[in-house]
Amino acid sequence: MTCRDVSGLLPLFFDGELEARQMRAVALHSSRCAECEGELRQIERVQDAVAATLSARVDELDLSQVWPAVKRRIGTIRVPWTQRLRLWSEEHDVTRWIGIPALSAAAATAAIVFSLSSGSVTSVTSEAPQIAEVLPVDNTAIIDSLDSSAENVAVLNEPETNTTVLWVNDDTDYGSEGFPP
Amino acid sequence: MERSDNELVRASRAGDADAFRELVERYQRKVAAVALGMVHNRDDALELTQETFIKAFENINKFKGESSFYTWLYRIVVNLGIDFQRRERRHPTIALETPTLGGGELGDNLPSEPSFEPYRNVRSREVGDRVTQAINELTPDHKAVILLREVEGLSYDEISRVMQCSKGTVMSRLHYARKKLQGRLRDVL
Ligand SMILES: [Zn+2]
Repeated sequence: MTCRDVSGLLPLFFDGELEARQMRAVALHSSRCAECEGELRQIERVQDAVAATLSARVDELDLSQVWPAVKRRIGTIRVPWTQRLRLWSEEHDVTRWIGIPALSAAAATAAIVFSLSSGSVTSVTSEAPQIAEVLPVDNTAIIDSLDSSAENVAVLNEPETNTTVLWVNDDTDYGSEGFPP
Repeated sequence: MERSDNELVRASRAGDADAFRELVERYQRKVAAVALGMVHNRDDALELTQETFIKAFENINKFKGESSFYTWLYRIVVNLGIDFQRRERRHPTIALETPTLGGGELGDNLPSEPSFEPYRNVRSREVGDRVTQAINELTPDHKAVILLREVEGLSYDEISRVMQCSKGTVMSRLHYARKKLQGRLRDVL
């Protein structure tokens, strides 16, 4: 490899972004060529200087202020209930609901609605199986979907009983700001 | 046992402020370093760091876990930093704060006894001031690439995800920014 071949590859070599064969070739050339080795040292000096400068400047920031300030602000952000519902359905693996008698599912649905309005979802799992034992009905309910593209709407389909439950949240405080960062 | 980022993200989604606090404390230094490079002024950098975490919390249900949490955070801080600079450029107010590394008005935050770390010596301070000045002169995009690579050590692939551009663009921006810094710092490095 000549200096001309190597020069464009030097930054990539420095950053470890070349494939092994090229890494070896550039390393070999640079170990014998003062000019290319000097170019690598230049890149390294800039990197060291930038990293050391920023690191020293960050040390001078009072980062203990960050969390209290963030906490104050996020304290005013309400977690939309649709989000809590989604999380709950992920954590409790909605497929487990298959096989649970319809009445129990209906009761659980009521429990979901109830617990959402009371701000807690933890009691739902313990309640549903208990009701299932008391009322064994040979019918199954499937929660077909627990999702919606809209933030304020959740849809729950029960194909077996041909029931659709639509939740509409009137929480107007929440806006997504169209921000996928 | 320390919880993973993904566990903390899931808990934060449900509104668990303590989980989010762990994420903030885990990444605030990294985010602040980028913020500081983007906006220079310490107060603005702190503000930008806070805004980044607030935005992250507000949008945490949009984090799909396809990339790591910190690259997602970098994306937020870089975008906010670029927006911030564009606003500043349209409404220039006062001159940028003169960087005074290891001295001057920073005295309150620093240990009072003399420090023997190499960076704190006069020569290093001069270099630090020059480096800060040289970074200030870069465009927001070039700044972001330099910070993500030289300070945070991200791969080209990660940088391209953070900045939503091709790897080729990352390479050319990085090349340009490095050449610019080399030129500016030739006499001190
Ligand atoms: Zn050469």
